[in-house]
Amino acid sequence: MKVHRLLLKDFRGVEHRELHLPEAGVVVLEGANEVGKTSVVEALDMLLTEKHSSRKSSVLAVKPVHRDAPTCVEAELSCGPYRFTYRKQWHSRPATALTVSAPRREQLTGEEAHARVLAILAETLDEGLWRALRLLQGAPLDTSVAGSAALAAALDAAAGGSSGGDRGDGADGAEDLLERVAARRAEFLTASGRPTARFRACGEELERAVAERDAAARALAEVAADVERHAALVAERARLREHRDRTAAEADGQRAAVAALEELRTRVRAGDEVVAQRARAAEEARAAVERRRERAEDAARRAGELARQEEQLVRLRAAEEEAAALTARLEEARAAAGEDADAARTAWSRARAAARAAEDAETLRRLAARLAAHEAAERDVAAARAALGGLLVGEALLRRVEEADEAVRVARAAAEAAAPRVVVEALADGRVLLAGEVLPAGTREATATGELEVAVDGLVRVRVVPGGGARDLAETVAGAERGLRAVLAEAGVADAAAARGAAAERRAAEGALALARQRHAAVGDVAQDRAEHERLLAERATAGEDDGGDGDGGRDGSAAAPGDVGAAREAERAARAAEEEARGRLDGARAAVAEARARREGLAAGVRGGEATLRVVAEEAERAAGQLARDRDGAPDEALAEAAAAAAAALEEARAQLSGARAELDARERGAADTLLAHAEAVLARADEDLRRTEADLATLTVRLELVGREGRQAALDAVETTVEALAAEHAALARRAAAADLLHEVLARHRAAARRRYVAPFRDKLRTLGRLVFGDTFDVELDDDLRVASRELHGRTVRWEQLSTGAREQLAVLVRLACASLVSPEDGVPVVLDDALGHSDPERLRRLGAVLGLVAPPAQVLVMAPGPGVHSSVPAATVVRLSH
Amino acid sequence: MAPPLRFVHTADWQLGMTRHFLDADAQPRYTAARTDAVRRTGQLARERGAEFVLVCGDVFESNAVGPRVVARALEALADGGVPVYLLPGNHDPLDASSVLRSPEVRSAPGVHVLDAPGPHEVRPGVELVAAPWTSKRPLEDLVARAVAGLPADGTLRVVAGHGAVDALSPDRDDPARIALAPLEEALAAGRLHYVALGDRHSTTRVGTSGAVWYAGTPEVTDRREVDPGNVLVVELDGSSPARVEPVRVGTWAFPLVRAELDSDESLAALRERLTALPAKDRTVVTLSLTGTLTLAQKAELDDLLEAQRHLFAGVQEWERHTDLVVLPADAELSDLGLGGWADGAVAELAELAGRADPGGGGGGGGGGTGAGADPLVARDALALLHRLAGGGSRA
Repeated sequence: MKVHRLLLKDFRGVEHRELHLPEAGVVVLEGANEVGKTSVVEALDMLLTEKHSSRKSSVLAVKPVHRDAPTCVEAELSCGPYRFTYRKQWHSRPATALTVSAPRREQLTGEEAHARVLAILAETLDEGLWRALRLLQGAPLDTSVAGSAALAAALDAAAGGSSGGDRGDGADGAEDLLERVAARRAEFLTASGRPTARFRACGEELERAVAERDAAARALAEVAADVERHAALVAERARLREHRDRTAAEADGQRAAVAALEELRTRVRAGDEVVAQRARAAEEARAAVERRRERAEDAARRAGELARQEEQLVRLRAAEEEAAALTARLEEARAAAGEDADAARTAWSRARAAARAAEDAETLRRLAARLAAHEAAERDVAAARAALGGLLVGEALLRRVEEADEAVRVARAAAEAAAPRVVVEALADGRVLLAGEVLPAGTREATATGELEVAVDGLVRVRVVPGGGARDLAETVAGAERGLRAVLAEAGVADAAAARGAAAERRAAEGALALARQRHAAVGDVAQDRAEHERLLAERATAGEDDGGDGDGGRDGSAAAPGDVGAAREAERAARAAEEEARGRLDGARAAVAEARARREGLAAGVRGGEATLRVVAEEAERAAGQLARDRDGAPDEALAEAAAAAAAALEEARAQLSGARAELDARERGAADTLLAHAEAVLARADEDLRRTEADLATLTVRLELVGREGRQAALDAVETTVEALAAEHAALARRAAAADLLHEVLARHRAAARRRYVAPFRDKLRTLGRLVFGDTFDVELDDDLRVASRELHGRTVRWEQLSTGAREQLAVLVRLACASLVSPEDGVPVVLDDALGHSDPERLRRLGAVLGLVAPPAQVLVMAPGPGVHSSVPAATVVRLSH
Repeated sequence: MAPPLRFVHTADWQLGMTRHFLDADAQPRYTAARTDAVRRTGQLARERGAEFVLVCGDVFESNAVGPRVVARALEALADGGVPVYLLPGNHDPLDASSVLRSPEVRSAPGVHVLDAPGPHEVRPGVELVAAPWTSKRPLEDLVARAVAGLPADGTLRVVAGHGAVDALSPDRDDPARIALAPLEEALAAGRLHYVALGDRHSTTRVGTSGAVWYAGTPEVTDRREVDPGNVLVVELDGSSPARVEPVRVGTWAFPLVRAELDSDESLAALRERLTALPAKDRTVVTLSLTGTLTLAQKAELDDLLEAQRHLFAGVQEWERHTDLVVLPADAELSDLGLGGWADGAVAELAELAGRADPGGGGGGGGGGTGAGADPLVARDALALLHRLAGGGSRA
């Protein structure tokens, strides 16, 4: 497409502007900001795409702010073989007018004109290229130009592709097709190849329907199963009925047997009862007999008792009379004994008085003797005392004599010990004299306390003279002998022995005195005796006065001999014994009387008791006899005996019957009819139960089948089956379409990607060629499959697109578009529009870009919009249009 | 000799049947049509002075049909005012779930269920000898059992049976097959006078006696049925051969359309054939299409079928008997004017699509990675390409 002329009226701030553009080459629209440079491109777009009737906001936005005037755009364009003038007016009196001048003349207005232009553009304009080759102020610095079919065709041609590069509209169609295919695919599949919600929903719906269908099929199958079960149950019921009937018959037979058995048992029980009854009756009859016998015996016993009692009473009465007689006799004897006793007592009284008189006499005598003895003893004592008075040597003096004697002896012994001992053995009797003493034969010792002379008769005298010590000792002896003689003198005796005799004499006198005193003491105090003696004498005197006439010699005087006392005492003892005897007899008589009386009393009481007992016994005997008589009147003894015999016989009979029945029962019990019946009935009950359960199952099943019959499960299954079929068909169709779209998309996309990869090389070559003009010989670029610049290399350094400076990026963006424009064939070409695209570039780069611009155009139209002189100053061939308000 | 007997013999009403290929619009009309066929049968019986209508089995599609089906069927039965004898068949056997045992059927006026095997007196001198099915799998020839021991005593006897006749059924292992020869003997001997059968949906005369018939279904149920849609008006007098007159009562058709498509002419012929079919709203067409079409022709066929689908009660393709290969004509794809890399893609798809039919050489071209794709998918993809590329509209 080429733009030859463009007219804007009342477009935004532009009131009227008409541009005439050269066929090719760079046109620079130069003007200040907001002078309406961009509006030129906008106006062309709006003319080509918006209907004159459009009320879009973008259309309304171009209406002049301060003027109420219609916006009008007119362009003269050539496009492929077509050349036409196209005009539209918006906002008021909208209108469209088209005048086609080539290839053949056409004139159209309104909708038709709009449609015709769209058709022409669709046929001839590479829409993608048209959009790609403009670099608008403020738009992102995209370098993608891959959407262009014309470029694709050009690159295809450059890459030596198979299709002819002369069909510029074809590639455009392929790109569009791919878009439509992708859209189609997107109906079914997501980018990652998963089913879309709609597709998935259909699948899920199908799954649900299948599940429902399966459930319905199961429900129907349940019915089929129930039907089969029903048939099986019917067969089972028939079998069970037959079985039950058979079992029932068996049970009936068993039941009859058991009934017979029961009847027998009843009989045995009844027999037991009869036997028991009859046993009781027999026992009663026997008891009646026994009772009768006992009563008779009782009556007899009572009669005997009565007789015995009477007899005993007679005996008692006789004994009582006898006892009364005895009593009387005994009372007489007692009276006699009483008299005897009185006499004996009188006698004993006289004897006793006599005895006492004798005794008193005796006592007087004895007292008199004592008084005499007492007087004698007193005389003896006085004599002894008198004897003693002449005897001096007492014990103490004797002791002094003894001591002096001892001292003499001791002194003599000591003198002897110190004197030589002379042993003289006389060889013959009488011939040896020792100290003048003739010695018998034999050995004799002597001590020479003084001079000692031993002489044998006639033959020799030997004197033994002691030494000096012996004289001292002799002095001592002499002293002791003087002491002795003093004491002896005091005692009045000659020597110690005489002292001792005198002492013994005194001791004998003392003994006699003691003896006399002892005798005196032994007589004791005689004062009482004297008093007694005097009392007795007085008493005797009195008694002698009283006793005149009484013949009792016993007490008549102190002259009574001791024999008399004994006799008197003897007589008294005899009298007392007689009295005691008489009294004893009296006591015996009294006891006999008492005993006889008691006996008589007892007998009398026995008689009275016997009489009372007799009355009772008689009464009882009479009653018993009366009862017995009455009983016998009612039932004689023979009758009772007969009845007892009969009852016993009946009992025996019943027992015999019972044992018969019991034996039969025992025999039958062994047949175990009960067990068999129980078994038969259990089997029957089981059969009944089985049958009942089967019937119940059948009933349940029948009801269920009836209910199910009303449900119309087949209809339900059919309905859901239809749904499944429809959904399955729909799903299959969707799947088929999805598969087709997917395959188509995959193949197309793959081929396009392959083609793009092929296109990269020539495009890159072109871009590199142009880029080296701007950046120098070290420049290179990397492109991706979409022909986007991926990175730039300069001086051996590679920098990714995103990291490039804004200036570098805008320069590359311009270069990409220029490379496109130079690659696309002139027929397919569209104007390159660079609107304020180089604001960030330094003057050197701008200058070099200008060179590239000049190189690229012609043959392309390049429309550069700039706020002031810049890039175009280095494009010598540029047509400069200065814009102003 | 009893007076001549006239009755209507029918069978296989299959009430409650659902055809899944019918859409939500067609199914209720079809269901209504089956009931209408029953009603028309009753009317026919009245018009012809038939004594009764004998339905030889499969009155209902299943024992589990819905109550609505039963109610409407009974209402339609009552319409004719002629007694109706219903024989339980394999679809509605007299088992525990039997719909024919239901109180609704039992109490319907003029409706008799032949529920016991053997003779049922219709009137003095006329007996129906029934062979009802009591389960889905009988283990013997029910008819043979039902007719056993019947004498030739001048009684007019019509056998009511259901199932395959051995002469027609290839299934030797089926113990329930009805032996034809003994029946023909009995017919010849005058013990029986007509054998009314059900099970086969096409009206069929069996054997040589002329008195053994399948009435067929009064309303078509399947595209394979040869002569459905009839009931038989039967007249017997006991001496002359049975007079059997098929009368059409059905209003629906399930035609099978076979066509070999390989050219624009064959497409046009198919269009004419479909257009010529009558009563399209009661017709379900089954297509068996074979041949090879270009993309444009296939698109035309699709348009044609799409348009016809709206007219017919149903248009279905018999997949087993459909083998339509769609291949782009040489110019067809290049005419799309895609150019560039698209041409390579088209070539690859065409190559894929042509694989199933080595004879139809598709355009050569570079094989792509889509080599594993199904040729059918490739054909669909090509058709889609053709459509999206605007090939159809350009033609």
